[in-house]
Amino acid sequence: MAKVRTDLMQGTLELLILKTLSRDQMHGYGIAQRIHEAVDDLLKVEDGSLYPALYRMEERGWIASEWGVSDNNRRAKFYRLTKAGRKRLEGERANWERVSQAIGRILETA
Amino acid sequence: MNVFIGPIQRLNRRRLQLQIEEELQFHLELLTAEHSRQNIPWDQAQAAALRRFGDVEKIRDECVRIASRNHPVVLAFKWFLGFVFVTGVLVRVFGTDYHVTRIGTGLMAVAILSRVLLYVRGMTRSTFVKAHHDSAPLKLNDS
Repeated sequence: MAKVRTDLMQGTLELLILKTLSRDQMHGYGIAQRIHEAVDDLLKVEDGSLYPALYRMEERGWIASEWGVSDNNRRAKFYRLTKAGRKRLEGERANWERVSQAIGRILETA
Repeated sequence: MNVFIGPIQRLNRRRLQLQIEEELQFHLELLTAEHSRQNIPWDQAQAAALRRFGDVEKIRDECVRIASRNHPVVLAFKWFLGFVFVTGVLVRVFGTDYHVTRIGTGLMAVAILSRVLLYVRGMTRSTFVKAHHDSAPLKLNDS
């Protein structure tokens, strides 16, 4: 059966990035790969859309970045979650669960 | 105020642009390599990578805009205005001579007006960064 790819809901990309970075520090390509693997192409995520989100999140202090060397010996910018980011992840996660639960209830009853 | 902050911002914007281009290029090269491992010609792999990535130049410009807002030079300028204001207050309070107190008032006025100008111009630090269209479009490394 062909997979239907759904556009990512606004705001959820940040949650996906926060969750991805909660395990380890990563460069942009690594984050994109991890997200693609996790969503198994069910969600439509353009790789490039990660970067403005990463820069905005860095501006807000949720993530921090530094230049390092990648596995293929290339200079790459690595992102990691900050303490504020970890807190934000918890908040966003709880919020997501509340919203999806509420929508689920409406769909079941309405 | 653009006379002071403009050239610094332009230099900073160029530096940010180069860093962001390097970051995006790294991503595009890895994506191309990923596609080329599926036994498709390199040019088709590049095209597929670009399709998956999205509009490179638009993304780069958006990142530069966000990163410029954040830059320490502009934050330092705001701190400097704060320092000028405090100096003005101290000169005004402790200055005994009439001319000295006038200098204090002047410093306070300059600091307040500069800060108001920053505010009026849109509150964002990126307001002072003019768009650059002179940079070459991002290219994939064919080597």
